[in-house]
Amino acid sequence: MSETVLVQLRKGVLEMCVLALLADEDGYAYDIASHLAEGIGMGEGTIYPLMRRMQTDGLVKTYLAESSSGPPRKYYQLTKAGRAALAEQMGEWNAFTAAVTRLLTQRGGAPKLKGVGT
Amino acid sequence: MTRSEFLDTLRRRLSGVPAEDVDDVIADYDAHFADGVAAGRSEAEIASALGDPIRLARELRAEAGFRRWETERTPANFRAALFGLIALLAVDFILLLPVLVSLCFAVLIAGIVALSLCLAGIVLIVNLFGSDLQGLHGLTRTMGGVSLLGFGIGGGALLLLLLDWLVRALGHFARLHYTLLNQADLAGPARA
Repeated sequence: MSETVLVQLRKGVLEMCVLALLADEDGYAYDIASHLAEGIGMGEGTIYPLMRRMQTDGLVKTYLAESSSGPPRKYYQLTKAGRAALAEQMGEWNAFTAAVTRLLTQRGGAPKLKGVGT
Repeated sequence: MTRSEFLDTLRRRLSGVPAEDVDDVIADYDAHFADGVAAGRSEAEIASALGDPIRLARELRAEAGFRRWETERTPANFRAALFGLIALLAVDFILLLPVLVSLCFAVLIAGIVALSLCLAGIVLIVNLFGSDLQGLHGLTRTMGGVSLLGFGIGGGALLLLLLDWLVRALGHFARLHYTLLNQADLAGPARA
């Protein structure tokens, strides 16, 4: 049950995490994928369909740059729309997590076992 | 699974998707393997971290069909999108179908049994009023009728609980599998 919740949570924040990773510096897919796999336990294969979608949505754009090993690499860079989306999603995320934390602490202590997640 | 096995499977399963899209996808995963090997991982390790290429191809194909339908709403693109999505769900349903059919059958039988138990109980009790049975015999008949009725109602209630659980389990299963649709939904409001 809690696994289901985790999967849904990861899925929901995936795009925001990618935007956040790219906000500081441009990155290539392998790098982004390993950060996500390490940080929030995402499957590495998930990144490619997502990057494709974000590119079509105009949130990121790509360019090729030389790499130290092998052929040139495809780098992803945030667009203006991508930065705006990150700011908006972070705002929503912060407000949401604050509200959930408030709600959980108000209830006082650990939730009762019965009824959790149903 | 080796790098070339993974990429071959992916390419084979993407037949029907525009060639340039396929080349892009293959180039992405090829680069992923190159970067992974450079980072000191084995091809088998990288492949297993990427997941099942058949499943991946199904999602990518559905995604490609979906995109084409979004940019240009032609009947051909509708077909591509629809078939892509159906293919994405098909495996789950083919696996599920025999299970679902037998479950429905079992539920139907159990329902009929519960209903006939109720009916038999009612008939027993009602018959009592018309008959001239007295004393112990009448009492056992009444008891028999009431207990049959009880079994029927109890069984029916259990059946309803089971049905509710089944439907919810199915819902969870479906939600876990429709990765693409869920992500499209979640990406929607953020763009607006």
